[in-house]
Parts: sequence; C-alpha cells; structure tokens
Amino acid sequence: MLSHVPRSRMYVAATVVAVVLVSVAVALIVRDPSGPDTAGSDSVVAAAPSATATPAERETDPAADPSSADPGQPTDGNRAVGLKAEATSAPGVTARLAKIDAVQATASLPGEVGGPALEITVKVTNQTGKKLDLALGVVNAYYGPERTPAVSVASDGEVPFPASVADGTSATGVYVFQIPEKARPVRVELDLGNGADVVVFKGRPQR
Amino acid sequence: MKPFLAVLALVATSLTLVTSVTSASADTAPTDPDLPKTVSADVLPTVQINGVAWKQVIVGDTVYVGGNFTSARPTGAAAGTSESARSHMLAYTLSTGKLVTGFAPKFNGQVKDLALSPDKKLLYVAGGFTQVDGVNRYRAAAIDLATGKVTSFRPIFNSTTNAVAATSTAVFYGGVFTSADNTARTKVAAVKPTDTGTGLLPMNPKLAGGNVNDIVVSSDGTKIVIGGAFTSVNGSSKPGYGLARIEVATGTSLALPVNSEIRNGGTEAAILSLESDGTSFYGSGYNYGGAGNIEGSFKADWATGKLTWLEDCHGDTYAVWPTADVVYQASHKHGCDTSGGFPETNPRSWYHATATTQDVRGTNTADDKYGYADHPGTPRPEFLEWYPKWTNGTFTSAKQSTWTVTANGKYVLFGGEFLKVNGIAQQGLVRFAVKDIAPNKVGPTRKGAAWALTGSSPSAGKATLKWPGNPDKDNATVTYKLYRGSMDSTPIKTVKVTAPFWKHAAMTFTDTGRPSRSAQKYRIEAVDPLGNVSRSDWVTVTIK
Repeated sequence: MLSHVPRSRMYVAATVVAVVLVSVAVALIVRDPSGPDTAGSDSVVAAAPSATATPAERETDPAADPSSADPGQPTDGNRAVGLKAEATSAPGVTARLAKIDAVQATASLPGEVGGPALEITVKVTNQTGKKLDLALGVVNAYYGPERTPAVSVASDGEVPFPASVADGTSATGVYVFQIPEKARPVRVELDLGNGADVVVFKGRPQR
Repeated sequence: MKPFLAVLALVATSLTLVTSVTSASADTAPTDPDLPKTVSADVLPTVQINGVAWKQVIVGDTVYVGGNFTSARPTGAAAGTSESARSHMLAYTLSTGKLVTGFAPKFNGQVKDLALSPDKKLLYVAGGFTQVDGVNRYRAAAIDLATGKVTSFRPIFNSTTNAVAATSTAVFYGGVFTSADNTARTKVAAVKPTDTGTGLLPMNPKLAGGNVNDIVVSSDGTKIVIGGAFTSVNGSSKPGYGLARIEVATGTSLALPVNSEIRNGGTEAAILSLESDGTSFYGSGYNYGGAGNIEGSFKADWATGKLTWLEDCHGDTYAVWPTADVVYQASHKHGCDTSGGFPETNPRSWYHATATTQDVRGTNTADDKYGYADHPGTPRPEFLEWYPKWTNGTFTSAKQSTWTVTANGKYVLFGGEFLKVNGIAQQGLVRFAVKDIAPNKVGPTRKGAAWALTGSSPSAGKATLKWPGNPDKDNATVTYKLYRGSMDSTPIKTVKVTAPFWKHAAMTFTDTGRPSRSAQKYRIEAVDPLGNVSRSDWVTVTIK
C-alpha cells in the first residue's frame, strides 16, 4: 500500500530511518571502544546475524543463568537478556516479552507443525521522538542447547506487528512457535529491521 | 456430459442384456479416448518417514525429499523398526522407492522447499534451519548432489524462507524474512548462485500484508511469479493481492490479469503453491475467512498472465503439479460441484489427491448452496477418475494427508503426513505409476458383505435385486454382472456404467419366471476395465 501513503508521511518515515541509522552508527562507535566483546561468544550460532555490525550473537556471561537477569535490565546490542528483561534494539526503541503463554497449537497450513507451543507477545516501545516503522519486524524462536529453530504456527494466533508505532506509545505482536515442553532454554529473537540491533531473550519459560 | 440415469429400474427376462451408461470421466483406461490417462491408484512401495514431507524433487531416478522428520524406514516396516536417521532431508530411488543410504545431509530445522539448479548438480534449499552439516546456513543452502554435502552457497535471511527457485544466474527466495544478506528485502529476494553472504541481487519489490509462500521463474529467467498472503506489491493490490509477476532485472510489477479473478490474501487466505511447466504457471490456495476467493487450483499463461482455467473445489489445495496432459492436486477437497466435480456430502467426505485435465473442458457455475466465493462463467478443466483413499496423519496436528505432489512422465509422487493409502500402511511418502508400469490391481471398492446386495420377491415368479454402485478408484467404467445360481452361469444381467464415482448409483433388476416357493440365490459382480473383480456375497430370495 505504499502508493497510498501520503508523501509527507513517507518523508517522515525516511527521516526516522535515517535518524535511527545514524543513531545506531554512533552507538556502535561509542559503545565499546575496546572492540567487540568476545567473552562468551559462541562459535555455534543459531540466531540470525544482526543487520548492523556484529555477525554473531554475543552474551555477556554464559555462566550466569540468563533467566535470572533482572527485569528491566536493558541489553546492549546483541546480547541475550532474560525472558522477563527489557532489551534495547535501537536508541529509544525497547522491547520486552509482555506475555509468554504455554499453549497447544494446532497447525493448519503448509510448513506448520502444531503441538506444545509458546504464544509470545512481543511489546515494542517507541521513545525515539518519531514514528517507528515496524513493517520489517520479525520474531524467531529457538530451543534447547543446540538452538534448534522452532517452527512457527502462525495460523493459530499470530498477530503481526502493526506497520508502525507512534512516538511515546507501544505496539505488540503475537507469535506462536512449536516448542517441546521440556526444551530448555528458549530463545526469542527480535529483528525490527531498519538497522536496529537483533535482540535476543533467553531463559526458561514457565509451562 | 451425456445424460445418465441415476437409478436403473430394469425389467428383463432371463436373457442376458447389456446396458451401457456413459458420463464424462477418465482414468487409467478412459472409454472416452479424448480424455488423458491418469496414473493408476496402486500404492507402490515407498520409503516412509516419521514426520511430514513438504517438497519432493525428481532428478533422474532419484527423488529428494525435504520436510520435518528425523527418521526413515522401508515400506511395510512398522514405526520404530528398521529406522535410518535423517535430518529433514532424504533421497530415495524413483523406480524402487528405496532409501538412498548414502544421502543424509543434516539440517537443524525443517526444510520447506527445494529447487534444482539448471545444471541439475545442486539442490537449493529453503526452510527454517540455521545449520547444515554443523555449519551456519541461515535458512538458505545448496546441497551438492554428487557428494550429498552442503556447498559454500550461504545467503543470509533473518527469518524463515518458504520457497526457492533457481536459474543459472539467480536464486530466488521467498518467505517470512525481511532482510537478505543484511539488507532490507520484504519477503522476496534474489541472490547470486555464488552468494556467500554478499551476493544479493538488486531486485527489491516491496511487499506488504503477508508472507510469500511460493515462487516460480519464467523459462527465460527474466520474470518471477510470487504467491502468498501479501496484500500489495510495489504499492499495487491488483495485481499484487496474493499474486504478483515481477521483472527480475528491476523488481517492478508486470501485468497479471489472472490476479483480477484469483484473489487470496491477508491473514485467512493465501496462494499456497506455484508450479511452472515453462508456458503456463499453476497455483493453489486456501480461503478460510472470506478474504480470498479460491480454495482450488488454477492455470495461467506466462506470456499474458491471463487465467487459463480455474478449478473451484472447496477444501484447501496445498500443492499442484502439471504433467503433460494431467494436473494433480494435493488438498482436502470436499466439494467440487461448481467445477463439474464430486458434490459436497453430509457427513463430509475428503479427497486428498485429485487429477484434472490440462485443457479447458467446461465452465464453472455459481455456488447457490453453500455461500462460498465462486467464479461462474470462468473456464474449468475436467476431473479425471482418480481418487486414492487416504488416512490422515497426526504429525502436524492439522489432520491432513497430502501436502505436496510432484511428477514426471511415469510417476506421480505424493508427500505429506498420511498414515495409509487405500488402507495400506504407508507413511508420508507414496508413489503412483502410469498404467504401463503399474500393477493395475485396484478394483471396484466394495467386496463381500460390504457390498450389500439385497433381494425380495414382489409377486409370483419374480425376484427384485438391488445393489449399491461400486465405483473403482482409477476407472470410471465398471461392468456390473448379476449371477443367479452359479458363477459358472451366464450373468442374467450385465450393466456397463461409465461415470464418476458419485454417479455410480444404486441399481435394481427384476428377475422373472422363477418357480413359486423356490429359493433362488443371486450374486453381483463388478469388473473394472483391467479385469479386477469384486463380488458381493450370495443372497437368497424365496420366490412368491
């Protein structure tokens, strides 16, 4: 529906993208002057690489139980945070898993496999001062020590992010993934696109 | 269609009469020579899987299967016996159905689609995996068919890929993703065959409203058609609603008149599959909530983008495959009356594999019974008399049987999660073959007590026999023969019916001139054109 978007709005959106990109670039420069944090980095990476700079997800301390991360503790770049934590995907853009429900998902379309599943509500809060485009937002999930990619059961409850979220407000998307009941840990990966960092939530969901 | 008598009420003497009733239909031995032959309904032994197959590709005498499964076992083996570990991909021999033992690439997530490189040396793979053979491959990979190993091809997609298609210069991916090689791409992208993470091609159509489910590429490689749940492409929703034709060089949308008739998009309708035979492309869809208008399949012309025909059955159609003169569908069709096919029944009956002509044989009619979206006046193909029986699987929880169909000139291959075919245990994969190489042992369905011949004596000297129709899974023609006393005698009545299965109605026949108070026994026999015989039990009638 791009043709239906007024020029002024497209201009604003483009400006937001540009601002975000510049902000991310600045953040990358100032965040870690000593270079990438390689402590605890994994050579086996299941999560998609960030669209920005780092090709691999990094964790601050793999020895710590990620699920014990303090709620509200922001992430830095691609580091995994706890399932109840808040992550920052770009300056002024935070995300958290507002709800994780254990459900029995029923598949109905090609590519879907139902069964024990998690219905995950991802909440994105926009405090950039501008409207934030969410059209490129994707959510992936992985489970177990091998980071097995979870199969989406979108037809049983997925509600994608809205196309955008206004400044000062939040928007949610609901994503359903088939994940065996005993699989631990579970990783939920959010990529909002437009140069935002990929953020990863990791932990043991209550089921 | 020629007229057909739904119920035959025939009175005759004990002279043998042959009655012939014909209606348009076709099968392995069509009586109408103008109709193409289907494969037979014989279940050919095939390797089994413990999950679901999403796609099969035939390369010479080898079939490659991608899906969601962790083990394979021979035909006839019960689950848990004679298992061979596999990781969402396997290969089997087309002519034997046996697992290829040396081919076992390991995917850490499911495989959704496969595409052969034009030189037939590589199998491009799409799905949800992030590793192949222990190395990172972000939802795209290529397998070297000579070695069975993953190649250096490694484009990077940030979420699931559902579809892949390939030419010698580009590999096209479609799916859920919004970036390719770390660059924004909405649900569809093209990469170089040499891509190792930086080989993204410029093509960048802008999709909104839903994912891409399948892609086909024109024979000259300059255009692709995408199908999915999207509701606009490059700002347009007509074309661009569930279907779009895109110029590869520029990413711009091209005319696609078929999208004015075929409109599936949004969260409860989509185009689910696309295939191409070079001159035409074929698609199928589902429509659950009314945001779409087709659950069947269609054929359209590459040159013009116009609709050739529309198969308007109800019941989602998951995949379609064109052969030279027959088009096969994997679905859960339950009503096809607006396209000249079998009617809806109560309780509902499902048909998970169907076959239609390649050419136009009629016109779709309006649905005035069920309130479905319809397409009156549009061209339709003819249904061919080929209806294997499927037992649904449990793996995906979708309560389905077939999810994909593939064929060449000799074999038609269905994949999915079915547990049995025609009552024979055969999980997930099955082969069917053309008549020349098939056993051709499938006969009229009802036998013994299951084929209820009934008789009574309405008046002195007479016996009235009644029997249900006994259609065959792969032949429209069934010859019914009524015997009295002995199978060595000449049938007292022979009726040859050529009709689709739902028009093999019950028949009656009155035998006359029998001695009063005598006991007469009768038996009905059904014979298909290949000599397969099914018989009822003997029924005794005491004559008044």
